[in-house]
Amino acid sequence: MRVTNRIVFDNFMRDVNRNRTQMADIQSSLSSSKKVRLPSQEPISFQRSRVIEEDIRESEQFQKNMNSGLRQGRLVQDALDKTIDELIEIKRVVVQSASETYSQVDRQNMADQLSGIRDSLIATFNLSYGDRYLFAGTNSDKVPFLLDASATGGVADTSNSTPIKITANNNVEIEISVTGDEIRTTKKGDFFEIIENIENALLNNDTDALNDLIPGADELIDHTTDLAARLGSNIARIEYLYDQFENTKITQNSEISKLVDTDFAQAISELQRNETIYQSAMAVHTRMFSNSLLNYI
Amino acid sequence: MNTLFEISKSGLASAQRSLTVTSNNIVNADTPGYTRQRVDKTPIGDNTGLSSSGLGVNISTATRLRNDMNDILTNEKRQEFGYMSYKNQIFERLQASMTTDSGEDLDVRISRFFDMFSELASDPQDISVRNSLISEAQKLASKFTNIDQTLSDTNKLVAQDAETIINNINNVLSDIQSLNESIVKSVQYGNADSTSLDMRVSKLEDLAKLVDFTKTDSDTGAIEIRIGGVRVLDDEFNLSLRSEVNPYEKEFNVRISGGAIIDIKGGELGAQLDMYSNELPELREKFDRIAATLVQEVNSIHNSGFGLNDSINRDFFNATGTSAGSIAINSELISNPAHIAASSNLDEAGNGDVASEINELRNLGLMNGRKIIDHTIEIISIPGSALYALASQLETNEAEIAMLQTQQERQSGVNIDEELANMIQFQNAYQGSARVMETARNLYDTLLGIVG
Repeated sequence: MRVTNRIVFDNFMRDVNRNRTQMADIQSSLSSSKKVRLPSQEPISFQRSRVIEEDIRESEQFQKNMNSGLRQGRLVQDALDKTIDELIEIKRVVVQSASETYSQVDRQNMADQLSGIRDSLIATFNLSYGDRYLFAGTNSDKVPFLLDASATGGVADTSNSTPIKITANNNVEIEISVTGDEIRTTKKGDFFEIIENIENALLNNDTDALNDLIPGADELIDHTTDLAARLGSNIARIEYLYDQFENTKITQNSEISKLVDTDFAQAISELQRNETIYQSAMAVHTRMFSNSLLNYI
Repeated sequence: MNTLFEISKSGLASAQRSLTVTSNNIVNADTPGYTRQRVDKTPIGDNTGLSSSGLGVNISTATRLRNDMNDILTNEKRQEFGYMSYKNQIFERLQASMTTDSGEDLDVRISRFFDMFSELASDPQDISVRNSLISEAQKLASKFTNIDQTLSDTNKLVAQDAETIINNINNVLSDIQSLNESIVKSVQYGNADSTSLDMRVSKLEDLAKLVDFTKTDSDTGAIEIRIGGVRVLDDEFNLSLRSEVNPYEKEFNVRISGGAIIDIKGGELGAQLDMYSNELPELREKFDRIAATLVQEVNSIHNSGFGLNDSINRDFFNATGTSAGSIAINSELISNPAHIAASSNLDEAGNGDVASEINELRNLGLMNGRKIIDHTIEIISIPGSALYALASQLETNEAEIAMLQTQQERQSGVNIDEELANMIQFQNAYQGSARVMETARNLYDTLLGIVG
């Protein structure tokens, strides 16, 4: 078989080129720590990893929503806690005033105190997060509660019965507040009306009425506590979902890593192997080409 | 006695001719298309019956050592190579514009767009969320426009490349035709001109990369070339090609000057026609479909909802822009993001039902039953997948060409060591013939001495 200079040279160039291409691949995967950076390297791994990345982005958005929901929900929770404290104070006043030992002046003072409590309750229920009124239902761009002698219980409100909520997962929406409607509608009538009745009974110095109103004051506390408990369980649910997303993310990230990340041990051993091949190709080439019959004649 | 001079003279001439051929082989060792030559020698016989020893050496011809069949096979492979490597080049360009390792690609843009709706659903009153939504939507629209622009630019580039290639083909054809003429002449004089033959081999190699053709040899020494079944060249004439482009119908045809449209399938030109008329328009249409689906689906939900300020139902995207190149956000929303409809009821600022419903679109099988983002990932990976397939085909093809070239080289290539060895041999032969001549002279001198 004839072997011409060109065959030797072409083979050498092809081998060296292939070697350099492999070196470039190894270099790219080592320096970027990714073995698949573009679909042309491995279309299937690339597409799979992108699909998982989309899932992760979606979960991260849900987590962001939950964070915002938690901040709002906890504000509402604090407000409800404060409300319960105030309602306990109202109950104390009713129970005290129902006993005969107090004078009319005392009851007048108590009525004043009650009216102050109502004002502070209204302020609490007008709690806002940014420009969003948290107790207004979805009608949350307007101040919901206002003193208005002509309205039921002396307090008018613009809140509606649709609760505000966050998107916590696909098709999962969680309420992060209670609406003004829910607060007002107790088993014993309107929330503010009960307070108004107590205030009126105090002003009228009517102990019988006050005695009758003790269950109403109890109901206020029970009602608000129920709402706070419901909200608390929603917050717990959000926290639980949040952690679940965290766990899934770890699995998803490791899946992506398996698909597209560099196996360093393998890459480095390939690098060494390629280096050896490259050096020996160069060495054998120089030896072969410096040798010719020309040197001997 | 005289025969001694004649024999040595033919020996000197033969050695000289052989040395010429050898040195020509050595200097052309690296010339593309060059074929190694060998001097054919035959002994000169004696038909007088007086001497049985022969009368010297005769040089018949210098033979070209080349396998024509191998050239034909190699050119077929070169044609495939030209086809695939051009597609490779274009797909690389497309991949670079559609997928990056930074990850800010169309799939991510669509996903961020939906993310902002998810955020808006949870916080519909926040103007900063609305502003971010608008800016994400604008990024999405400009990504679509970018991709569309790249595809349309690439289409123009391919058309330009095709024009250049057609010019090259015409030049090569006219070169081959003039080579044909000189070969025909030299054949008529009795000895084919090996330089022209070698140049023609090299020109045919060039042509093979550009376009698919068939070649037929004729007795006159000329070759006939057919492209797409139509004869474009023989020993007497050559026809040139010209392009006919219709950018609206996405048609690129090649016509023989003054003749019919020819069907070109291979070589770089074949790849260009296929890219221009099929691959690029199809890809463009796929992006248009994604854009159209997005516009329609988002609009139909958005249209049912209400912004913060009034009771007007608005589109999110301009309803007229339903292609990747024309997708745009309703300018009313850009100037006042409060108009983005997040609420399903009038005058409910805290209601995010519509935004939530739009976000749910990402999980619906809108594109042939697949989620829009998964489908987008598939589409933006098309150039990459094509490159992946081409890479292994190109590698095989290159290996085949290399194998065929090696086979041809074994026969037609120059081995410098071999030529140097020949050189020594011919040098010795020359010296030997000269010595014979000297001996003959000595013989004459002796005779003349006796006479004198």
